Amino acid sequence: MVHPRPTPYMPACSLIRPSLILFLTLSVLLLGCGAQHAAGNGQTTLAIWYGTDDPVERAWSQHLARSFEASHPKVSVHLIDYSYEDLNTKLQLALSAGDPPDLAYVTPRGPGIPAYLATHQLRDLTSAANQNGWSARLQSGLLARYNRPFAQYGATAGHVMAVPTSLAAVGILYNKRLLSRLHLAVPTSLAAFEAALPRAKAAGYVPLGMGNADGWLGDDWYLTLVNAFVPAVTLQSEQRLSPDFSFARPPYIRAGRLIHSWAQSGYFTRDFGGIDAQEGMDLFFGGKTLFQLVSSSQNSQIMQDEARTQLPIGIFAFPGQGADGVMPQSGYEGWIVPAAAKHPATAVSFITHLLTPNTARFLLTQGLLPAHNLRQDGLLQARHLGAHPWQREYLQALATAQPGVYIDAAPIANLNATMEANVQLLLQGYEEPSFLVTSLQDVYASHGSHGSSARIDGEF
Amino acid sequence: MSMPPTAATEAPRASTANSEIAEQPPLQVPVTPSFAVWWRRLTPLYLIPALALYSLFVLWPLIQIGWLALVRWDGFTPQIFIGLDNFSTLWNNQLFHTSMWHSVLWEVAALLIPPMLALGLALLFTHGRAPTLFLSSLFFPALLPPTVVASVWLLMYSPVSGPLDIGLRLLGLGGSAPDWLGDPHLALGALFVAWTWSVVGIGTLVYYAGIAAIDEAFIQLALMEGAGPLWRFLHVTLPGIRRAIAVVVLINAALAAQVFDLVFVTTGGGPGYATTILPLEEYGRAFGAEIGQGAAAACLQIGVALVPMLLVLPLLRHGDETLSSGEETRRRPLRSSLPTLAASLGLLAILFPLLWLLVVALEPGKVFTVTGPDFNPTHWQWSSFATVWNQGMGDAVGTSLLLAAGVAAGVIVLAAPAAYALTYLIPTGILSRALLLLWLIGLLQPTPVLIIPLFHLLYGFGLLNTPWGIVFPEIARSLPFAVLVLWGFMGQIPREILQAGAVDGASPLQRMLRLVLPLTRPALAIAAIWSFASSWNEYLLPTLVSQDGSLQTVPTLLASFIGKYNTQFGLLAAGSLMAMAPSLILYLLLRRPSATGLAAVERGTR
Repeated sequence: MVHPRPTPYMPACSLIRPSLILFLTLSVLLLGCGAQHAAGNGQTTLAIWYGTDDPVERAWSQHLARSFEASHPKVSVHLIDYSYEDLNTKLQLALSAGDPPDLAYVTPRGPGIPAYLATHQLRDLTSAANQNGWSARLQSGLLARYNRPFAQYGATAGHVMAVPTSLAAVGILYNKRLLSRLHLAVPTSLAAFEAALPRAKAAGYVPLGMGNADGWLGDDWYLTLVNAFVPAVTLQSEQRLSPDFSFARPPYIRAGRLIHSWAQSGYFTRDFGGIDAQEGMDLFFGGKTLFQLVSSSQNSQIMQDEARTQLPIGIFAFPGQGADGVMPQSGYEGWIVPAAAKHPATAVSFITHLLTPNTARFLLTQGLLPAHNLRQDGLLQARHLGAHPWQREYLQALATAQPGVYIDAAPIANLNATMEANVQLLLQGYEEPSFLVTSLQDVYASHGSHGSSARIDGEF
Repeated sequence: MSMPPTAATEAPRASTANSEIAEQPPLQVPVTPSFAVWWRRLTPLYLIPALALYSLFVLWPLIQIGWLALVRWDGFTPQIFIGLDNFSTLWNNQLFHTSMWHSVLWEVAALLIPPMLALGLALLFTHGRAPTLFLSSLFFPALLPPTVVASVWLLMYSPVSGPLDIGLRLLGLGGSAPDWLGDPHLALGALFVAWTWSVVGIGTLVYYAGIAAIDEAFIQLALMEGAGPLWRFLHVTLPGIRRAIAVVVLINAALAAQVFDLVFVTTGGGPGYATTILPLEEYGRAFGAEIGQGAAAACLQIGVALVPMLLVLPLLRHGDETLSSGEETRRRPLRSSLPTLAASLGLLAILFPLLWLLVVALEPGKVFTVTGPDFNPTHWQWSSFATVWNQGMGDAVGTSLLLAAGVAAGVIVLAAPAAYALTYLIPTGILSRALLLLWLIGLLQPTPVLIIPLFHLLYGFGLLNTPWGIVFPEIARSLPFAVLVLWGFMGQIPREILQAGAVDGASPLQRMLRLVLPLTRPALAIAAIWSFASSWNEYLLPTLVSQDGSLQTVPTLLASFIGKYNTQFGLLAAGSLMAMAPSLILYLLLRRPSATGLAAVERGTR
């Protein structure tokens, strides 16, 4: 019988040696001690959660914190960057637990600010805005316009709940060299714009740059066309859930048909369905694309690509609704102060600091479109704009074009996602324009509880 | 050829087994005691630490999800009980059906394709040359966080500068290059390929360990009797790795149920709804002010994944280790170089995306440009590596290393006694089955929703902004896998060994430490590697726990290079490559025990 004897020849398992366990426990303990932030010496630590989907912006966002610290020596600013998705996740949890940061830079789209407002999680900033003259620091009427939609989520009409510092506007980026080569001028009407497309294609160029893998660019195109056909004032009421509204109306169907016909005509970048917006932009700077719909959120990439390729570029507002075109400009982020913030007064000081000309100047150098009153501060004359004429064109178009409205920012769950998904299918030829408006109306009318999708034969 | 099915299995056993074993009556020391004895021996002490942590950080949040599925709640206002309305809302939504169908497809494919692929690779590695090199290299993708895997495959599938399309263009097939992620017919399949790439290494490792443990004598005998490769595979290899198959299937079922970041980052569910899956539904609804619907979707997801797991669980307990030698056997490479060649091709396919990552790191400005990388070493820039290091990669690696090692150690310390108690100390019956089911459910954590009750729990305990807020939940989340695998392995240890220990006066604790654990070293190593890799790659939990940003881990640092606009692919690639190094070292340290055979038990009985 050869039963093994336990102790003499069976070693204890090396994986659980007490010394190893002890070492790891101590290490994690040390890590825990190291993670605690010392607060003392009368310092106030301002906790800020900053939302951005641009990694380049993450790199310079710390400058905002450091410049505030320089002018407020008793304040230590702890600014952490998150993507919008992560920020939304974190903030919802932190607010519901009653432990939010002092200040956050978040999207006004749902669930974002609407969800926080509806449940009374935000501090009313009206008196702070009045005391510090925030409205005058921003472009004329911008603060009121930005806060107007919040009334439908429970905020008092006319009150300030969030403060923007940078705009997000959608324009048309164009290749100046190609435009000249094709003997075209910047189009000032939809007809002129449409006429340029076959001409560019016939000459072997890509008329419309597009990377729609992530869906938002197709959505932006559809809404830009809607804005070209419908007055902004109408869209504002529809964004506020006008009961009579229907997507099955002619302008919405027309916009769908137009973008669909462009796709069918091969005007967009080849394989745009599998190319994302960043990739599409890089392709534009390959020099073979005439026009490209862009959001100013992409400006840091435009600056990088421009520096890399030296391609002469310009920006104009999409033609329609008046001589100066239309420029959808909504959905950009705003600063909020949670009701449970530990240092609300310091948070207000930080917002005031962000609205100074110095901050506006800094934002301009990063390629952004500051929400500040640039004319009053003479910032449009800033020297660096000479190096980026397209940025000046962007700002000028923004000042003169009709401000468009994104109807997909209406407080309806799944509306934005439904629009992105169905425009993707529409552009790729898997769906008809009539189905697009049906699916959108389906979601709109059911307040997000119902959705419909086109069945794709053979879909995996 | 025909061959008596028992010849290969019976003869070696007869030749090696000591005849005394058969002649001696079994020892009458009870190893599975009655309930009273079980209680007296303080069995709960073996179970309680693991069960307590698991109950607190996994079961309790899961129970809360069950409750939340029955209420309407936006996360702030009071909850309203609505019965099954959330389920009915989901069921009446056509889009939800699409997501459900995609998840079922994914789960089924995950149980078939990666395990078969892994088995094929393991067989090739076993019969080819330099298996250690192959295995080590194959493990690289498992060490990448899912967000990085997603970015790697965005690069691979790019219709502009992706290597797949570049290759087709070079072959003159540029016009027929598919739009991998843009075509609704291809997108889900393309994502599944990316996912398979990231998980196949783990399965291959487990299979390799199982194959290497099969006693060479059985194979030689089969060869002597003229058995062909197919017969040997069907009657020697497959029975010998039955438990390895169960482990791999469990791993894949669990991983498939948790696929989220890959789809979220690459397609977001598109084009159209072609890649929507249940975790996306859960996340979108839960953080879109419809937590109840998100929880209901999570319950359905658990149901989808639980079925295959229940089916495979008995396999874990009935592996055929009579075929095992109890130690790793290095098979002599076949004279034919075909296996090595085939293995090399397989390895190249696995490593290619990583090599592309290196190209992207060295030529960051060329990504997505029309010309693509030019592969000219004189143009290579190493600055991406320096930039990533300066942005805190060293600290992030240190933090991740400590957290992941702490989690792995914690899992082993807690899971081993729990599995020991489950195997030897708790009477077989309803209680043990209930406990097994309890652990099994823990494999299917719907992270996007689970995080809601978990966050409130951590906040309540004051664990936010502390490493314990990551370590405790991570240990709890890895425990089910570790306990089930250890339980499966421990069940195969002959009871005679423990009886002998008992006769010699060894206490249950001594029997566990001196007999059982040394014999289950392969399983301990697998559990350690699994928990380490899971913790190393975890993104959401550190992001949520670290309210003040003080706990920067590797995945959170790498995620900071990813964005909807202007993802910094050069930094991301450099960071990903740098991040693989430490965990690879750990893998190499633990690889040996994991490949030491799946049943060292047999050696003890001879």
